[in-house]
Amino acid sequence: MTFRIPPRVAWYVPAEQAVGHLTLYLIQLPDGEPLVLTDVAAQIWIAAGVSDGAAEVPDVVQAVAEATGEDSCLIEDSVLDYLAYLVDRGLLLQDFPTSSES
Amino acid sequence: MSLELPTSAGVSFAHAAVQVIAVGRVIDVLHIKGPAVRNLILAEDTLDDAASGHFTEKLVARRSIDADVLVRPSQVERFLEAVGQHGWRLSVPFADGSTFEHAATLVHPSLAPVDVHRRFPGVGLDPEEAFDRLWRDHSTQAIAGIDSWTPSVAAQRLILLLNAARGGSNHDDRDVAWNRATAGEQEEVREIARELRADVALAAATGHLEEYADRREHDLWELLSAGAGTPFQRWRARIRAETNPVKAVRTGWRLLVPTSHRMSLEAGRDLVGLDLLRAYVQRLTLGFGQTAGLVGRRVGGRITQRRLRPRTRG
Repeated sequence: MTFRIPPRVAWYVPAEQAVGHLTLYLIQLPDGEPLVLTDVAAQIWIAAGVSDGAAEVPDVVQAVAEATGEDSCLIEDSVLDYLAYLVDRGLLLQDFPTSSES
Repeated sequence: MSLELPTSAGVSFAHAAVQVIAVGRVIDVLHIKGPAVRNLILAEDTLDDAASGHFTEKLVARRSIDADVLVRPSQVERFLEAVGQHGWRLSVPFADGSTFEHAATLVHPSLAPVDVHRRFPGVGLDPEEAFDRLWRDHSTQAIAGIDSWTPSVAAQRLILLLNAARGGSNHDDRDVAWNRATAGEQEEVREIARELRADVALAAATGHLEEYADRREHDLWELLSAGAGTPFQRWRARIRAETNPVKAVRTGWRLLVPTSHRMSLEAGRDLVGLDLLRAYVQRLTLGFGQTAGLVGRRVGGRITQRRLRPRTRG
């Protein structure tokens, strides 16, 4: 299972960030309201979305664990829950492997 | 309550929104200036270590407060109608924008404003033909993650320079778009300027205007690039720069009698009623007074002083 950014979701990471923090802005175009994700939430979206289908779920969990300094086993469930939330909100697209790939 | 975006995010999202709408409606737009400018143009080598001669490439940051787009002139009405269906409102119509009437401003509740250009000051080619030329070698650049149509690198340099030419002599974009370009890159800009009939304006931006002293646009760009000239001198230069008498008359009249919105902008306050009327009278008096002087000199006779107030009898 991999993830992609939906074609009409725009995203922006300001160049200036507070030390130790990460802020990400998202908007579903053309009519959505802008949203903000911060810190771990932003890390999860970036790790999943920016890979553009190249990262599997374990890769996302590992990337977030490295970014946050947390143990991947301890954060895995939370990351999965949040990925499901982002997909449900239309902020990520979820790609399932085809029968030939599985 | 809508999230308050940093300006840079609002501008990038505005560009992205325009792109999505344009694609959906099959409208040709080109994103210009701001985040649409290629990193190639913005890159500057900074010497890190004099001893080792090591350079680091860094990007010259651009600060924009709005998103600029150039719309195919024949599709402008369709574009305005399309964006209007997605929350954008026309804040400043074309007639009330610059004295060139080349751009209108759209505003949105959540995003940065968009300056919609239907042509670009300095480009003498017919606007639709000019857009065709720019569209011919356009490319795409991701803005806020959305692939957006942009002019070629050479065309982007030219647009920055034309903008700088109107902004006076100390404009940073001259350095970014010209001084730090290679000889080959500069020639590419000159070539596209010739095709767009923007060579006089480009010369004004790059300090070579004296080579175009015989061109009808020369005086105008001399004044604009220097930020100089009285209102009458600029008015006269604008008329002289027009390509045909009909346009010249229209331009002359529009500059003398701008819209009430533009009058208010120039006064720095809302003008209505008697205040607006007084402002128009003052503007027309100044214009016609100086015009009468010009006419007087041309016919070789004495300048007739017009009485603007009735005679009083003591």
